[in-house]
Amino acid sequence: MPNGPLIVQSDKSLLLEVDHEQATEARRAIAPFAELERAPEHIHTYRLTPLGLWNARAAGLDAETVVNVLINYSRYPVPHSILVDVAETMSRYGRLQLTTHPTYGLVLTTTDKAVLAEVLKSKRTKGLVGERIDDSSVIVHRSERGNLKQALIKLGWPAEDLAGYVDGEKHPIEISPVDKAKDKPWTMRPYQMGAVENFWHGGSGVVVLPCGAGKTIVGAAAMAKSSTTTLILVTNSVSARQWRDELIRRTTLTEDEIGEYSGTRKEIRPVTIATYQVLTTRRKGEYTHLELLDARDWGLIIYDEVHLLPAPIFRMTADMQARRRLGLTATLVREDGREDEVFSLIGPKRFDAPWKDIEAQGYIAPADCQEVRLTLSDADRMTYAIAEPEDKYRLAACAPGKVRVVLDLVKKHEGEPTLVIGQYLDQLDELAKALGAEVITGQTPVKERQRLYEAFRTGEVTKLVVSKVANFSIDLPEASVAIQVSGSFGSRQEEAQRLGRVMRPKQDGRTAHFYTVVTRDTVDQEFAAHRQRFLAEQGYAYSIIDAEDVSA
Amino acid sequence: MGTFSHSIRSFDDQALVALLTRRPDLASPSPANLVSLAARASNGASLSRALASLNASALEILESVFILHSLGRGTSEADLRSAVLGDGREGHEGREDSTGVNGDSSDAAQFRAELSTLTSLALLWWDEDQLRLAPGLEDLFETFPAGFGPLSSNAVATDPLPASAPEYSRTVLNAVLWGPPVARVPANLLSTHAAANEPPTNEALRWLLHNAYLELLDSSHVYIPRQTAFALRQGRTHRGLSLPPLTGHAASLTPESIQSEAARAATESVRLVTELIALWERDPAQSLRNGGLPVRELKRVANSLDLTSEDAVLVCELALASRLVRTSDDAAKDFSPTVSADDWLALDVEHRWSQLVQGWLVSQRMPWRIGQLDERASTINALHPEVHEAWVPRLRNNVLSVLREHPLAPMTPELVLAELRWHAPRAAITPESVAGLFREAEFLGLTGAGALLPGTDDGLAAALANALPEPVGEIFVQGDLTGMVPGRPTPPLEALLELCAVVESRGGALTVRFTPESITRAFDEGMGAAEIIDELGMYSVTPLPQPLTYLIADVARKHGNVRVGAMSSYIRIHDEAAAAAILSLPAFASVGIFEIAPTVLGASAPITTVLQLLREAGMAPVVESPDGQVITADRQSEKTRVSTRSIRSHLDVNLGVSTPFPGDDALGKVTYLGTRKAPLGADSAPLAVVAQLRAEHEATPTPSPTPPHDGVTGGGTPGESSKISDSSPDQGDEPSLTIVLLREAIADGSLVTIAMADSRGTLTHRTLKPLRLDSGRLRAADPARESELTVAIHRIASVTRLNQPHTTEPPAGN
Repeated sequence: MPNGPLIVQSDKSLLLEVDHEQATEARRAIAPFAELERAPEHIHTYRLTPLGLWNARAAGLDAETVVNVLINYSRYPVPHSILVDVAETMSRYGRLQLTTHPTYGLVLTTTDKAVLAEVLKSKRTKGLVGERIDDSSVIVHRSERGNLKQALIKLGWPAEDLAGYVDGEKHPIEISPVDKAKDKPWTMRPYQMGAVENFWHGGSGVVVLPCGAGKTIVGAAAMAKSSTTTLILVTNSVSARQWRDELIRRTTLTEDEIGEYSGTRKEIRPVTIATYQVLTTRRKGEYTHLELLDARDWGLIIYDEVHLLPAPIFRMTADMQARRRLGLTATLVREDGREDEVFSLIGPKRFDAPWKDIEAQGYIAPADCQEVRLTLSDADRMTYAIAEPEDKYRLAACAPGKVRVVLDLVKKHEGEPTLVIGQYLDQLDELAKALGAEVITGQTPVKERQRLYEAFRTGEVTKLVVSKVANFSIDLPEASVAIQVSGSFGSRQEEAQRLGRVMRPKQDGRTAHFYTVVTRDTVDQEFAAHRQRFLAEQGYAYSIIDAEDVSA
Repeated sequence: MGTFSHSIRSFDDQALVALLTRRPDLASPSPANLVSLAARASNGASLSRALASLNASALEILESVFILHSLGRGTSEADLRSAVLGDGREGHEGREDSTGVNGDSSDAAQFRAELSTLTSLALLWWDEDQLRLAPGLEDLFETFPAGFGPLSSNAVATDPLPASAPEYSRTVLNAVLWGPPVARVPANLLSTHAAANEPPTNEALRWLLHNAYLELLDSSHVYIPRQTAFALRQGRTHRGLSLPPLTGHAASLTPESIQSEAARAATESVRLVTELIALWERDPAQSLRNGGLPVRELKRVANSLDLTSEDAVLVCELALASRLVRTSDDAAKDFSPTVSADDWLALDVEHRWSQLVQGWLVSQRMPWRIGQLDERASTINALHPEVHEAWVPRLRNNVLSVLREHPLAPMTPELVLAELRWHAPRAAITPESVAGLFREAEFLGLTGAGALLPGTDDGLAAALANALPEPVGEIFVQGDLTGMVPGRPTPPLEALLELCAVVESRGGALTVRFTPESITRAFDEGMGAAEIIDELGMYSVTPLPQPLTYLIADVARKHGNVRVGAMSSYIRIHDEAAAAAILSLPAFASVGIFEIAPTVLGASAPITTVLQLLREAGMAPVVESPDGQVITADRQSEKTRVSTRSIRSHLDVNLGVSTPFPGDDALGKVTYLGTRKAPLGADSAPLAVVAQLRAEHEATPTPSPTPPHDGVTGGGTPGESSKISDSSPDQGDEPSLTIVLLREAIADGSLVTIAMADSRGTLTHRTLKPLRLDSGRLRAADPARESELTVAIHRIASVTRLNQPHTTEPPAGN
């Protein structure tokens, strides 16, 4: 005990010493119940949160196991208050259960009458439940299954949903043994199989996999397992096409069986891919495409990029609790803090693999992050110093010197597939001209976009300049260099996405490079500090160089 | 039949010593003989004192003796045992705190022990084989000893309730059987008969009264007679002996876990008090007039120490209890660190903590009262001097004794309170005081996880030293600019991190973050880039990450780019040669002259001195304003520019004559300042003001720099009333000056022009005759309108005196 790899802090963070001989063992033991917060090179920080503990409880772990893990791997005695808190929090999950009663239908039952009395007294559950059957059970209105779960988690008594799912309309789907695009046999990776297994066993829930780890394949395998009609909700139409292509490539599904439900096309087929945007379109205050949700007796609903799921979709999801739901994401962290809604409406986390672990298994290219600091010319510094605060970021981000730096960087990686990512269209145009590359922005037609991506994929084009549209769900398997010239205020999500771009598996195991060009002593540099923190916390090698040293 | 004094006389020496030790009040002054000792031992005050020291079990035995005796029953040890514990034949269904299998034997042991305590205290004495109460003790029982009501003089029921009794009779009887024996009944219980809507218990009550199970106490109360209750309790006076509530409370903690929790809390409390001292050293906290710490100041402490306000109260109170802070002796009465704080700060953690605990142990303060309302319904402030009671240390000692008796058991304030109440049922102990003391002990780290830190009996500092983990002299520094010391840092490492990093979390380990600000702070403290990198590198387990060394280099690049120095005046010269000439003149050495840049010199002496020196050196200097304009200077002298000018503007005093400072005649009066309006006292020295006031009488008229506006200038008229006359109405007077002017006007019945602001801030001017001034309002007559009006003082923007009393002399001037 005195020499364990783990230190439990009184603020409920767990510090794991990575180079300790028991580190791997300890990591495996704490991963089910603690959220990885930061994973820099030496010390990884995990945090105990109620959601994390409930996720663990949902996965069948009990408080005693958690407490034992903490005590066994801890270097110092674990604070008593934390042990008490863990036991207390974990005991809250499962005291309430949603089950199906042969005569009453959906009921909320409890093993602790006081808890039921407490939650029924709350205003939040008003109108969601019907008659009391006895001291320990109450009828739940079928339509309020999701709303009730949401209310209960807010009250701190998350319910275990054992009410089961409708079978859905059967439709044969199988994983194809050959990769139809390459006409070569392929198999799923072990962690993908593990993810599908855990999800199916748990019922509904979220699978957390880093970008490039093959979330689409997990989705396809879940569909095969279910063999029912499936509704897939994705962020945008580009992503919809990619899902389609991937499904055709990896499963027995044919083009005719897959429909696209988007702004332009309204096909409803056994497997339908819809965008969040079309579902949330409103006309005269009404959601006009809600009928899609009931258009078929869906047996499985897949949510791509759960962390971006807009609030109206949450509300719709609340009404679809009887259908099996699979959430796919690279991160559970939501910028809006609605992690608990994901937990209650889609389900607990069913599978999670730390990025670094997957990278260590060789499936993701290791990335090397460099921040290039550019010193403004004296004239530009003066312009910047007297600029209005709202213009400062734009001035700093679009500093003219950046073009030179980008040219140097591209030259350094000549021939490697390179993406240049930015926010401001003028700047992107200028860069494109200087590089002699094509630009992809929000205005680029989908056809053109896909043509360029294809050319990039085949190696016909090695340089692309892209705007924010590149952030989500595009698949550029061969990009191994990404250069960021400007970005919107360094949000954590954006970083994850951008890095995802360059982390696709490489055939030759080359190191991927992520550059970010910032201007010294400006707000640009301040945002870069956030970026640095995020990337370093994710465990990526990060270094800072001066612009003058790039060409050297 | 023996007597009480006989029984005392039969005490052997050892027993007497025991008696006098346990009831020390009997021994002082020393009693003349054993008879007088016996008399003293049956004295009411002494008996009360002895009763207060008894625990619940002992009191129950006394009660039992009293009841048995009053019922004419035998009081032998066997009688008593069966009345209290039962004779073992019947079940113990009534026992509330059964302790399981061993219950009976521990009961019996407790019974014997308490009995011997009571006899040795001479509260019970043996009359042959019967136990008797010490004389006088009867009067000291509560109204209903052991829940028994009064004896009834009538023949009362002593048989079990017959089956024929009406419904609810048993319920009613059970409610009063074990006490309280009195129940309230409807006043018309006996007068009405079976009214339609009366509760069903009424019938039962009537039956019970009729059959003498209950008796009427008065028209609206009934009681169960003592004889009936004793019979229905089946010859028991008690359901059993109350045992200490913590009997069998499990010792479930390990010494290590207590030590780790306590050590964490202890180091934290020491750190917080240290930070409080640092905070108040830089910036003492104001005190309230009543001596407490204002809520605003408490918030400041909470914010800068990153605490809740409850914890901030504890930190302040701990510092006060250990005499590390107190109100200063100067007029402001601010809270600041004491001299002993310096000694304290020089100690190591263990001894600093030990002093904190010792200060706390004897403290009479009651921090848990802070934030509550006092009897005058005002909130009690932290550090308020009256928040103390003499009983606090005793209660604290009792709380700690309970903890000491239950080592390794996780305790809660509730358990401690229950135990304390068992030990002294007659003492009034409030739950909040126990909870407060418990929390303080936990906060200080004297306890961890609710158990006392092991080893505190052999020295506090040693106990903490034992509990503290081995200090660690290494740190992991990572690419995200954080660092982690896997344990308690060694003092030099801690000092280094304190200097150049920000602490993120504490606990088993210390995590820190390096930020540009924290590195800058290290530079400010005189460290260099290489030094920081070297020192961190020395402790770092792995090579320092590139982003950190880059950050340090980046901060080094910027550090000191902007520099600030102090000077009072500057000299700008056209050519460098002249500048060099000035620099080399010996006369200028005395004014601290130095070169800022070619052709620009700075001086630490004020502008007037430099000006004079330059003139003496044969230069022809001019004074310039910040925007480079030349200011013409005349020979009228002025030194303390703002104060004199503003005083003149109000009081019309010529400072050129009266200023007591030397050299003023040589100074030019800078006219541009003369037109600037500065409020009185903005930066005038009080001494100077006084000097001016004193000089008032010798004042000679000079033209005022401010041309009189409207009103009247009293420039040349000497005498009281004319002194204060030229304040401009739009200028906005100092409030106190307004009041002075009004008072004077009231005193001599003169007229004034008052500028009043309405609720929108619009000024109106009226000429009024002030009549009365009190509680912030002015009552004044308006001669023009022949009316009176009341104005709030804060609405008065300015007062201009019409310089002569209205009735006696006509107004002078323009």
